[in-house]
Amino acid sequence: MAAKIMVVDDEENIRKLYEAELTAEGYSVAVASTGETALELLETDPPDLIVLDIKMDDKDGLSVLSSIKERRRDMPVVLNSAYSTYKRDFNSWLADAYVIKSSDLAELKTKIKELTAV
Amino acid sequence: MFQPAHPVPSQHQEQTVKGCKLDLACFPLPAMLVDAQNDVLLMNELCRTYLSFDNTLPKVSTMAEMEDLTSLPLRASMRKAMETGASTCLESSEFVDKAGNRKRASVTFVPLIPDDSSTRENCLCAWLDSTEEWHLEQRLNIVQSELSIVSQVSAQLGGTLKTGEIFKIVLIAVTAREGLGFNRAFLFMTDESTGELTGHHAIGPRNAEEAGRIWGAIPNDGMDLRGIIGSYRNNIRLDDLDIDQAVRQVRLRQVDPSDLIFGVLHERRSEVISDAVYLSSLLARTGWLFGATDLAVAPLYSKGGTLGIIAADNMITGRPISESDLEQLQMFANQTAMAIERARLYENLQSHVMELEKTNRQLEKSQQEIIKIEKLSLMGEMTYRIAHELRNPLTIIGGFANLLTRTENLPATAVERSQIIQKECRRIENQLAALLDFSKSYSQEKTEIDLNALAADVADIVQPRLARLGVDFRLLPSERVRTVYAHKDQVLHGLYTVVELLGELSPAGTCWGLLVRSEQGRPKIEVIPMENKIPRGEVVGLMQRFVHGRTGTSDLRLSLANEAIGFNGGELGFEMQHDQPRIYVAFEK
Repeated sequence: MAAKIMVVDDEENIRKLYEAELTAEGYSVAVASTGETALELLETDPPDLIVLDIKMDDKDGLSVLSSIKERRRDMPVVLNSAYSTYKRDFNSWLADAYVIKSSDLAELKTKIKELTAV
Repeated sequence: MFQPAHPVPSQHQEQTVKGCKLDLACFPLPAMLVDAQNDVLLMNELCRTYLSFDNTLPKVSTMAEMEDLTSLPLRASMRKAMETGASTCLESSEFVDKAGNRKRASVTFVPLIPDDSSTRENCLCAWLDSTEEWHLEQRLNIVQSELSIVSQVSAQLGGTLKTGEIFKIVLIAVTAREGLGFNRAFLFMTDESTGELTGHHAIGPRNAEEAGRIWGAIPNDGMDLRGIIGSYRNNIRLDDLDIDQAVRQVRLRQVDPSDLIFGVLHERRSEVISDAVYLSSLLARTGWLFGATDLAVAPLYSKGGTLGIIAADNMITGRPISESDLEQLQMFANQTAMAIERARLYENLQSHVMELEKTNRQLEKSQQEIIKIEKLSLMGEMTYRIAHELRNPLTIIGGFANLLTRTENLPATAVERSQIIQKECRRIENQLAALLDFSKSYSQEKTEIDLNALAADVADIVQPRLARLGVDFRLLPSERVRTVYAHKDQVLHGLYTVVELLGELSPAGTCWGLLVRSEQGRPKIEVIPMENKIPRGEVVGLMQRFVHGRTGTSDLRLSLANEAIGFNGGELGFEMQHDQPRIYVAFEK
């Protein structure tokens, strides 16, 4: 059975891109445009891995990460941001991987593959 | 010889000489009665005493004999009085009395007319003594001269704030004929750390032969001390004198508590040292320097403590050193001490002013740097935000272009164009990454940077990346260079970017070496070509693109690298040295 990936990003086109790419890779993809929606989906339709943006309109991605880990400590989370500076924020260390956004999704795909392999 | 013309009258005895009544005993001044034939008829007791005649001495009988005794033109003056009938006076005339005492007096001749005659037959000769005034005048002249010397020296000392000049002026004044006139003068300063007296300067001839040569060559054109000092200051180099060279080798240590020179220093009183035993021991301690029988020594002291001593002697002429000489030497010493103190204060002040000026310059530089940093920080912050804002759309554009490429049945031209879009997106992303690194580095503090370690770091980072491109990059054995004070991340970013760009522009199979060396005190990191399979001309052409602004499509990254290196006092450039092309990052000495 294909692993289910939840993409959390406030940019609609990013969501569309990731959905298309990850679907093409054989994953089942759910998308959330806000942190709140992501947390709701976590309860109602939990994914196998979450790709989480950090700078979002409604809620800071790092606080969403804390909430996710509070509820589902074993939920793999890949932080995906245009900013590299959050790597220095210890709150980001809760994540299982940190991938900087790029038009080349190879690194993101590799991380997802590694984390969903088990 | 001295035959009494008349018995010398006793006091209050009235005499009548040729009809002229005269009581010389009652006369309040030393006086004599002389007749027209120049015979001394009477001499009162005051006169006898004044001229140091007593009963045991032969008596003068004529004015000629008086003239022989006093060397005064007595007869001529008397004749004039007798001829004119009016009093005449030999004003303030110096003479030697019978006992050899030097005196000064005004001698007045008054012609006398006897009661029974209208002919002037006798003359009263009265002595008004002014010896005491004369002595006072002499003393006054000496004091005036001394004050004049002190004043002239003060004026000269006041005109300089250089200790070397002060020493020269005072030594010239002590030895100049128009000054104190000592043969030689020496200046010793206290070494505060050891308490020893260190020879600083000296002036004067080494021996009589040299003295004759020097003094003979000094023109006597009536210059005053000020003129002499002015002339000598410009023409004499103390360093050239044997005596000056010799004294600078001397260090006097206090032998025992009774050491006379140190006594002068510690008790702050000038003294003429004449102790033969001590002077002979001093001669033994100083070579040929102190060989005179008398040595005048005056301490130099100020509020801050004892500074040293001035010593002077008359070794060549042997002239004894008087109390007055010593007093004046002490006055000179006081003037010198004040001048030295003033010069030292001025030097301290100057040094503080220079320090303040330096601090001020540094402050201004720091302020400019802060302003620049603030501007760059602001620019960095803006760049950082813009770069991030661009990343999302780039991710989307590039990502969808990638998706498009993989769309089934897409015409080949669309696939190719889609790939071009992807490639350009990647290029912009790389530029953004450099921009982000650059802006990030400006938040750092300056530190001491070990350039050897920095070069090793760059090699570690860049080697695997360039290896994937087929470019070989080696860290070569280097000399250790001094550290530079800079923002480490900026310099690292600058150097890394240069090496990375060079690697990216190089065709596969190119080999580069990185080395660190010092060139005339300038620490340099250099990139040089190694055993390359590609033509040398191509390699040099590639390297020449690293002259700032000539990297073509990679100019943004190189500009940032150049800015980062320049901001830290470094210089990025290309040069040919010994036919070896080099890209270098060099720092100031």
